[in-house]
Amino acid sequence: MIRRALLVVLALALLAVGFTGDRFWLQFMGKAMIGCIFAMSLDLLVGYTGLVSLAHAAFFGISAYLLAGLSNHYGLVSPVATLPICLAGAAFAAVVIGWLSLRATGVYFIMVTLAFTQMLYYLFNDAPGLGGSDGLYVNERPFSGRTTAYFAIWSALVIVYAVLLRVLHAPFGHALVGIRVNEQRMRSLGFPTPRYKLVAFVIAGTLAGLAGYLDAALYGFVNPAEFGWRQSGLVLMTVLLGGKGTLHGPILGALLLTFVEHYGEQFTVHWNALIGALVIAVVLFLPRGLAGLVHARD
Amino acid sequence: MSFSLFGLQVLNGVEQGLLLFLVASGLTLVFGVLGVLNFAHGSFYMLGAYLAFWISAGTGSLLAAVLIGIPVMASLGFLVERLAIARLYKRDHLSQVLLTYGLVLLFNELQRALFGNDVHGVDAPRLLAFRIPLGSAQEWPAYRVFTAAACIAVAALMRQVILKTRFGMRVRAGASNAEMVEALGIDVRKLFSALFSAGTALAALAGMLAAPLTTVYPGMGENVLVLSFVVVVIGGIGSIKGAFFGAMLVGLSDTFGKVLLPGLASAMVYAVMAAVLLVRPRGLAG
Amino acid sequence: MLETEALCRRFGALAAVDGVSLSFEAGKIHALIGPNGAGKSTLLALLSGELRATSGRVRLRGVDVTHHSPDRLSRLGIGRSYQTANVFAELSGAECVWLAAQSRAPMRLLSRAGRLPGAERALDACGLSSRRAIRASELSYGEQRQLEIAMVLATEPSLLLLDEPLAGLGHDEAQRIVALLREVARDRTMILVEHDMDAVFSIADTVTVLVGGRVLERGTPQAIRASRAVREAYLGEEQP
Repeated sequence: MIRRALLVVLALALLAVGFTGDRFWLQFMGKAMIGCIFAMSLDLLVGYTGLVSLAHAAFFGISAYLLAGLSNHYGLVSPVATLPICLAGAAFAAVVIGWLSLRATGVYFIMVTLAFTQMLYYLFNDAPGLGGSDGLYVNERPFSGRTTAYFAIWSALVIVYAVLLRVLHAPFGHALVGIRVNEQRMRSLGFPTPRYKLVAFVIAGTLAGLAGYLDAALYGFVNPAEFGWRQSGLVLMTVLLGGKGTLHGPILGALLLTFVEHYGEQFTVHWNALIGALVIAVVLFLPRGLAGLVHARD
Repeated sequence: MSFSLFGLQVLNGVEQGLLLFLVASGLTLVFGVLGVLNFAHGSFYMLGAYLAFWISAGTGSLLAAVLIGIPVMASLGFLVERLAIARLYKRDHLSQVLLTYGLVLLFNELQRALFGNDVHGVDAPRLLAFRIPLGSAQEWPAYRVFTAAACIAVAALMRQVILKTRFGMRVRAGASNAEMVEALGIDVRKLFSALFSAGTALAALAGMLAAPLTTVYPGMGENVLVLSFVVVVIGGIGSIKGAFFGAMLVGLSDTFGKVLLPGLASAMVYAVMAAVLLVRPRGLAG
Repeated sequence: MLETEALCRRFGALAAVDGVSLSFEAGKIHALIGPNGAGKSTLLALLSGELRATSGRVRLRGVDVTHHSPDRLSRLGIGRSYQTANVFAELSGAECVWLAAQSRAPMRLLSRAGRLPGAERALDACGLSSRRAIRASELSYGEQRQLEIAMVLATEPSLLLLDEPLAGLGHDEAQRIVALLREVARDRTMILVEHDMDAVFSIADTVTVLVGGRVLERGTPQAIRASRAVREAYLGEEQP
């Protein structure tokens, strides 16, 4: 009950930021909320289904690049047209990568998802016309003005939270948890678990695509580092930092990490070391994340 | 493609595969015996290459760099195992991935702080600075021949150690059944430390040998790490033989990809991996 | 109902199941007994599709199902319980059974899980209606075994494979499960692996004795009890 009230307060606070019109805070909190969507979608795989995927950045990047391509080459800008196309692109990539990767299990799955992400990184980095490692500008963005983009991101976050909540409380979500706990048992109960895992993978990938779309729309810029395995590792860390297997955990993690990243960058040029130390500390001392800390108290 | 060019590509592919094998064999054995997936394994390769650059720039000798660098890296591996990896036994994959990912970030920053973001060249030993003619039109740098020979020698030595020594027997037992090793009353702590630092030294050696061939640059560890993952996925976890064949396959497909499909070279390796996954999801040896 | 033909499963050099040809008649309770390592659990895993047969055939109602996946076999009506109570600890008893029943419905992403008649029947049949809201991990061991069976029943199987349903239970709890099994078997076929000989001889219609992966003897409980070969190979050791 308290948790739900806190989330509503948080959502309203985030909404209020939109009315300030302050350039820095719109960009900053917009980025943080995109991180929330990205991390929540990954948690569907990691925390609920028990699939440690390192391919998540791939779907973020594909969708972002698609937006840049649509805007720059076809003059397609309106979100009504571009959003469905970008999400479909991410979903399609998730079907292909998921179908191949899910043939492997456990630690093989982790390595295979990383390998496919890296493959896409090289492809987008090397492909002619995509700007190489410098990336691309999105000439015309889907949302006019920063404030509009901010409200779009806010709405997306609320919708994604609601949809994921619904999915997790539907029979499908229970089945995912069952698969994490004991996949063999679920199979012998008659669940075609490979299909369930693939559907979860595609939902998560599509939502990661949504995050990528919003990111490109907010910044007007895409680059191949979005595919990098650092990005995949960072979002995985966001989930663990916040608390896997909860929806509010990844939100907490993403908000906190955005602050750490921002002020870390100001504090030292070696802020990556700071992040590294933070990851290690979280793994060793806070395996249930910030959400676990809260639960332990009540 | 002329016959001599083809021959050259085969040699280059095999040589790249051999270097990759040195890295991947450590990765696969550490997972097979210790049960830890180590993302920082590529960092050891990277640190090895930077050490080679640094020491050989100081002493003018790559050999000196190897002789000094290997014990340094083995000790680093020992420390990392004791301080970090040892806390991961019996933890889930997610914790392993993230903790070793944190190590990668730390090692990368270490490299940046010490050596900056520049790309550095490393000279091959002067003794080997000549080229061997190959057919009429091609030639092969002697240093590459030496590298390939060195890798083969190390691989042969590894084979002897694994098949003939007590340490090797324990490693084999551990790779096939980790609980059995404990049941046999073997000091698992020592075995794990020794194996991990041996794996670290192998990866570093590969980095040192590769330094004159590939130059030394930030992010070189990640590239090798991902390729090693592909090798292990193809070869099957815990299998040295699998790692060997996987490394050859990856080395050859990467080399030929660059010649035949220049635009898609980097994707070639992954296409091979995808093909193996379709046929044998647990690797060729699995 | 279910037939095996020269079914084999090897683990390296060891033949855990070695040329087993059996026919399980519909509507009966079939017991598999034998010393440890006789291949009973392996045979059960082969029948449920969890292990792949090295060679040989399995036929369900005349259809070859040898290489079907476990979920496919489950949807063909083969339900399987496990040796250790294998319920989902974090869910309540009712939720476990609902979850099991969902395997029969199409994948439902957004709709809420309603009460399913099949699940309710399974809960009732296993005597868990009053304990429905309690988390599975907080049920007694005996109740967890009941829940295990309830979950299998919720998938509405026509053939049940039960792996030591009585293991680790006290006398009273075992009696309750035996009564439950009798009830459940009224309109189903059942194959069970069990060490409790009193229970086996009281409820089974046929008893198959496995030794070293092969069928040593097969017959009614009376015939098996009287068999000299069985006594020597197996029963003699445990029940002098």
